[in-house]
Amino acid sequence: MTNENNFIGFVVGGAYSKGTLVQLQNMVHEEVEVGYCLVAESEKGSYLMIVNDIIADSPNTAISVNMARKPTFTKHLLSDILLTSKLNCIPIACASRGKVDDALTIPDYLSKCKLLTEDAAEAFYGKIDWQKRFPIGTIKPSEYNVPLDVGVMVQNSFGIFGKSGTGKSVLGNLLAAYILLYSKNSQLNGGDIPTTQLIFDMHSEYGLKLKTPSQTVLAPGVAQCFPEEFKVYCVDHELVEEIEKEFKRGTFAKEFKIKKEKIEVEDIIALSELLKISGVGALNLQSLKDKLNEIGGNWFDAIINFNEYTNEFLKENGFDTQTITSLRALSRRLSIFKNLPQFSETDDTCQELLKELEKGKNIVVSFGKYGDLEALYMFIVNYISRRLRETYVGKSMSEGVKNRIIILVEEAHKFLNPNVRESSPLGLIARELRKRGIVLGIIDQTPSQIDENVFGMIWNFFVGATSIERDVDVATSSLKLTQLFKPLVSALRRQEFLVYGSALKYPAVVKVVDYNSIMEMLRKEYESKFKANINSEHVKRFLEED
Amino acid sequence: MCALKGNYFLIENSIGEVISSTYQIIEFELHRNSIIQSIERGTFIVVSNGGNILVGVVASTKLVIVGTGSTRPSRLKMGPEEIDRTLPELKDRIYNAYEAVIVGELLEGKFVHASNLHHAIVHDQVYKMDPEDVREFLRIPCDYLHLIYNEYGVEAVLSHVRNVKSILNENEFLEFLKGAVRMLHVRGEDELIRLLVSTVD
Repeated sequence: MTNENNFIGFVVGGAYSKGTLVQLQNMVHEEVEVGYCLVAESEKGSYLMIVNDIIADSPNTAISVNMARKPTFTKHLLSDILLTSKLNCIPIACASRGKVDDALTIPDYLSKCKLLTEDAAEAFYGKIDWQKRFPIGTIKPSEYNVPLDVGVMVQNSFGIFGKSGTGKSVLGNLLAAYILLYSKNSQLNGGDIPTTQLIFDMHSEYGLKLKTPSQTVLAPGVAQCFPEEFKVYCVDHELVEEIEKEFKRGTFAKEFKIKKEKIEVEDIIALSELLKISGVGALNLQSLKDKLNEIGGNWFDAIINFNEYTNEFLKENGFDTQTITSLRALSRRLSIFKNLPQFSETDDTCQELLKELEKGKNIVVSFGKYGDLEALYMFIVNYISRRLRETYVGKSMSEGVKNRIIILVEEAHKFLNPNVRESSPLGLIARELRKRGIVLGIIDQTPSQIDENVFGMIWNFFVGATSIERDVDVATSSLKLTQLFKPLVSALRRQEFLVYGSALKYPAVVKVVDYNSIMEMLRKEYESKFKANINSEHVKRFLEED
Repeated sequence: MCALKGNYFLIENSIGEVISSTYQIIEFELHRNSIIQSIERGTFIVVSNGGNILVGVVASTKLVIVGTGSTRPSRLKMGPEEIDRTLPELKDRIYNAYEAVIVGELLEGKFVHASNLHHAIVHDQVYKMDPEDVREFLRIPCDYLHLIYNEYGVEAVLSHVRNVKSILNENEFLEFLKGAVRMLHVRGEDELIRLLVSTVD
């Protein structure tokens, strides 16, 4: 156990590139975990360090002792002498003479090391203000909540990575709520332009409810916590009813429809990789669009139903045999879209959605049971993104950026991998529109599949556990001393993230704050600041309603 | 400042007398009329001459035969009392001399281990160390086992450790061993650590 001052040992060596070695004193190494934060106090200043390895060190003498004879007795005699415990620590920051900066050296020999306390942590990471700096999570072993500067985060793209079940959706909802509150505060105080969010909600965890991987309901999604601020467009019409039935908070939920005649060939070409559409197939579609319009009323209907036309009919309408064969193959691939209720002859909600977004409403596009239909998910994300991009590209730079849009997208690698990045609307947005106020919030399990040019535009990283080495490599690639951080990523538990980037003063391994209690606090804050005549009982009832 | 519990200046309490000494080893013989006839290996002794107080650990013994007769004792087939009665001069001719390793001394009122600054002087008196003084001597981490080991080997060390165990309570003994292991490690005597930890109960 540590003493009153949290003293745990001394610096006994190390290297900047490999980490600082701390020998534990009167403490069993089992009491420390990878990811713990320490402060080493040298004459120069205080160093913040993160433990990335734990070393039980014993020389040959200790090994040759017959330890099995009396293990407790032997351990007592040899511990701290021949059975030593060391920690390898990443030097993070150095506080010296009232100034805190990145650590570019390691603490001196025999610097005293202490477990991080809340006060010490605050000296390095700063304070939460609930205006722009919100709590992202606690750092071990303290209960100190690290502040995330949401005002800085929204300036550039950010990424949430980690394998399934690590808590990406919980974190995504939390960040969405922080962005909302930050934007509302900014509008109140005039500190920044309004920020709105467009959330592509594959598994309906933003528009409806957060669930565990085994589908147990955890909590209401961000749109349900702030129904006044969000509109949920449901790709699945049953979801509209579910939202209305489950929540009586006045959440605006509307079925999402695409008018077939508004679909462009590029919307299909964007799916080329997924549907294995060849270059020839894509060219055919482009050049034969008018002919297809003629035979089917609109080209989209004509191509997905192409195999229902006879060769005779098609030839009469000017299609040659080779083209017919090619289009029949294409039609088979697009048959996945046949009879889907989202494609309408008359209704189109996309323009309405974009207008709402422009007006400052936060939008969630929830997919309900269609979340697993990959082609539809990709189609709709591309469809909306393309039109959003067109709206913004058309705007003159001289108009200035009046509002910011954050596009939160799950399974981002499908849109941002090197094969499609050039043609994908999201890839183009990432490249072209940051200066016009559109940034991406990328949520993905496999960051290694994201194009490196897009990755280079990410300024803030939330990295959950991932066991694939190349994903760990990529997710930590923007860190100094990247090699030292990799063991931390492998050791992360559920709801734990390695967070780093411009919005956090220094990298930290955090256990994400409790979603429900933070949402309750944010809701209270929201109601007290932005809504009148609502008492705390109402807030409680509101959050317990479901 | 250490207040000694044993009276190491009262000659009646002494058990023997120094015959020779180096800075490392004291050779002493028990008094003819000593309260003890022999002394166990590993026992703490104190040598005092009114000036220095040296602490030693008995590590070895040898037979001494004086005079011009046989260099080997012959068989007598008598009990100790009969020998005393019928051959009273025998104990003056044939007896044991003991060797003790100097393991520490009292310097400026405090016990120190393995200082080896002083040697004993011939005719200095030898006393058994009072158990309370042994405790005081062992209050600091034990840093003298290497001296015994290097002069007399591991068996002498183990005899001494057994002696210490008979004086200290369980916790004190554990701390004694822990201190000994720490200091032996500092002195690079890892082989002795291995033997000690593998043998001592």
